Amino acid sequence: MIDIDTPVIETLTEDDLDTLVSIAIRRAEVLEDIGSPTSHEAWHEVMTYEERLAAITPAFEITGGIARAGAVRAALAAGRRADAETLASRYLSDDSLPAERRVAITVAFAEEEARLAEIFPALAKSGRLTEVQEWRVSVANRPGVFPRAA
Amino acid sequence: MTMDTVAFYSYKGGVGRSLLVANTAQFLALSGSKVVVLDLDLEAPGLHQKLGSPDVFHRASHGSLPGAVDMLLGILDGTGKNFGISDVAINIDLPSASKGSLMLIPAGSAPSQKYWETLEALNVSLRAPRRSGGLPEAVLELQARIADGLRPEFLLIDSRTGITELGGLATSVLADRVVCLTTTAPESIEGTQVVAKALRAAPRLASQQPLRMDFLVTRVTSDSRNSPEVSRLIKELGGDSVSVLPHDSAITNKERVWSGWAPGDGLTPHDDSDDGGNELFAATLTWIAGSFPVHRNDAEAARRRMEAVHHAWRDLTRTSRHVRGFSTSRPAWPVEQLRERVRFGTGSKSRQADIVAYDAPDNSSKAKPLMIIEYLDGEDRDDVAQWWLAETRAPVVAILSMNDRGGSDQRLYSNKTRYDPRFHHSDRWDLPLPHDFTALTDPTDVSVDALLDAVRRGHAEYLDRIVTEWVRCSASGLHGGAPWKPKVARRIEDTLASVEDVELARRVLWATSLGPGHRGMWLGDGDDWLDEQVMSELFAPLLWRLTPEASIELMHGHGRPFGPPAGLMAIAGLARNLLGLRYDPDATFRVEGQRILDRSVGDSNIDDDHGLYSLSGMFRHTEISFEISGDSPPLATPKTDDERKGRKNASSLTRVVSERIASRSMVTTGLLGDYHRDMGRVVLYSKAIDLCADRLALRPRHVGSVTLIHETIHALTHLGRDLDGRMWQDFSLPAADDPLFQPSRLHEALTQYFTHRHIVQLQDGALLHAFEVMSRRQSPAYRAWERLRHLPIEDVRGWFMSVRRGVGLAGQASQVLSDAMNVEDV
Repeated sequence: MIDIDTPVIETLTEDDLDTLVSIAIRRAEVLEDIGSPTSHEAWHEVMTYEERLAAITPAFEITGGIARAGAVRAALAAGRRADAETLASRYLSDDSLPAERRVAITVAFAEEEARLAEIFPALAKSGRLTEVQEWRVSVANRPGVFPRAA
Repeated sequence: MTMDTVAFYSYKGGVGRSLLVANTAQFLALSGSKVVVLDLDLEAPGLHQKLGSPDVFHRASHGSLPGAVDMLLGILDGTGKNFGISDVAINIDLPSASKGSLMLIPAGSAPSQKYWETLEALNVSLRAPRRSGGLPEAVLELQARIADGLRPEFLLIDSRTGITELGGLATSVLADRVVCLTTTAPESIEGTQVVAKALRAAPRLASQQPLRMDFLVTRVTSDSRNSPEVSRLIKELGGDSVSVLPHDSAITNKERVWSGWAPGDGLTPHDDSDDGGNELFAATLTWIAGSFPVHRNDAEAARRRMEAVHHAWRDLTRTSRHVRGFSTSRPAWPVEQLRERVRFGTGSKSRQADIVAYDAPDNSSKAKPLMIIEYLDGEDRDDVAQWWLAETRAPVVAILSMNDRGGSDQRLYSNKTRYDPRFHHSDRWDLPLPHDFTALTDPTDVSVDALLDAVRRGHAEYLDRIVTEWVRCSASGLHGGAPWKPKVARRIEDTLASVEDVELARRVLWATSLGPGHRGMWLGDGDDWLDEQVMSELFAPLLWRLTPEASIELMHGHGRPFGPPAGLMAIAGLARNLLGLRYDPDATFRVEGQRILDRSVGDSNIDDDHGLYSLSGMFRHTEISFEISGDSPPLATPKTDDERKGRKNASSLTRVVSERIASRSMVTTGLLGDYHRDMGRVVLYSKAIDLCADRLALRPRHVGSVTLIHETIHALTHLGRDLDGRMWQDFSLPAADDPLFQPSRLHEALTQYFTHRHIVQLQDGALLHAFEVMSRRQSPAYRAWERLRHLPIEDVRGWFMSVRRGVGLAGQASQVLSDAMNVEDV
């Protein structure tokens, strides 16, 4: 997760962030479509802008709700499962987040599961795909020499 | 059915991990389980070398052996959707009787260039940022595809050494159980402990049980197995179990998987030395029994089987044996005539022999099986043996099994067998060797009669076994011993004594003697009591009964660094038991030599270390030597010019012998043999003996033996010591080459008496007959003994002692002996 207190990010207005996030999303989609290995970084950038937008806009507002769902979706697209789960946990705990945004966040995870299931069909069939994602979260920042797989 | 995933890990290489994976997998499969082996040692793959066929090697070297690397890359880059698990799994052939299956998923086409390129592509793919899913998901997907597609009971993973991402995943996420191997090397122990600690703390998937960890300390040498260091290591490692696998130099890194060690199959290490692999195999099976409870019984049965077959193989191929402190060679089976795990018959009626011994190298198309060996566990041995005999027509079938005491047992069967009717099998206890199939009518029949028959036909290789049988039949005493079968023992002695061939007779004497170069395979090992019994009750009688050409060789006292030779001991026995004299030329030398030294040194109290040896030449004549001479004997040698002119030597000897026999004036000393008092030498004149035997219709060997005994008694009456330690060298024969020679009635009467008594004691009918026939044709001096024939030997021995000492006789003794001496015609 990025540090949203970074001074540069803090100087951006909502309009600035709207502009930047639109461009960043488009850029990330293009990079992803052409199979560029840098698409993950592009999605990370999207996540950064969305997360800042969510920070400066209330959850019940349209902009704020979209930003929150967008931040989670971008984190998943960036391969930052742990970040996505942290953000989702934080946003869903806000009672003012509209139902449709809550659904959007849940769908984002479901779509990610579907994507994984397509890549790892046998693992999905065994019912362990979710467990693996949970395991990933548990070992993400774990110190130690062995195992260092995640 | 759930799949049990076991990862084999080692911090360092060279601990025998891959071999253990391969062997464990094969054993489980042979025992009936469905097993998949996965090679995840991607940087140094080799499991396919342990388990694969030549076709697999070929495919690997040509880059056409897809494996785990290809599968993982396909999963991660999305190109593997059409890549089924069956495309990478190789079926490993097992014996047809096996109920289980074994599949190998190799790492890939290692070590081809294509493999390394694929591995590098996988690494590049893993290094790149990924939106979703990485190596953890990929290896779990691979594991899930194995479980879903192959449905094994056991998935065994050969994991990467050291601390690597893949190694960590294999052990902490894929595995239900980790088998950690380590040697006792400090670096290996230290790394293993670090990894073990990390694994214990590693997060698991939510549905997984806590990771079970088993430790194996490998390559432990026999001298360090119980060392404090290993004990401490075992304690420190902890874990769910800690086992030790011994080091075995017979097992090298080149070793492929051990084949055939499950029930229904056999295992025999190709090693003739000691236990060649046996200890490691046994320890591995013990470990499997403890680690895979579902196959505990199979593993324990396999261990018993392996040990029994291994011992059989060793028995068949061991070229030396250690008997009574000496190592001797034995005619073992050449390895090229033995073959393991040979199947006979077809379909459900087929059986697999653990070992087959052939009459020629087993790669020869004409090789025929001589002996079938199979280990049985539970089946009826008699039924199986009959099947083998009928199916293979091999002369011998050996059925191995474990007895109730946990020891190995073997039964022999043959199609000519002299079966024990109670058990339908032979009573032979050891496996036949190649010569048994040519020398014995029935190789399983090693009864005394069969062995004696073989010896009679010239097979001296059975002499040791016959002597052992003699000991078994004779070694009984007040304090226990073997079964007492004196008639059998007698039959053995008589048969051995009847040997005609000189070389075979010599072998008989060697087999029964206790000379420095020979130790028979008698009962026990270094049992002095048995040694003495064999010497006095078998060897000594045979020495006098066998042909003198063979006996005389063992009577010489030369070359005896480890004590007196057997022949000398037999002569000493004759002197002691018959004459009441002590014959010990070494003692004579020491006693008399010391007397000489004492006189020359004066009052010195210091021993002269070497003085005694310098005197040895003076005492040569006190040790009886023996010779068979082809020369003309003294009594047939012309002594005057007139005699020389009148006849030639050859015709003279014939005439002398014939005339003396016809005129009942035959003599032993001077014609058939002689005793030279000045040299201490007994001589047998072979030509005269042959002529005498011919004229009297006797066998030359019997005439020779009678002569040998007669002249040896002459020598002993001269050189033997009485209980006071005195020699009476004046009691000696007149020289036969003296022109005025006449036989000494006193000497000959006593010597004939003792000769007769000795032959009676030998219970040799042919020898006694020869003595009686010869005696009837001899001069009065040689017939005088007849008057003494029924006198107790103690009486005659007493008289002999008195006469020898020159003190004369009194009373009845004097009269009896005097009458005997004066009779002209007995």
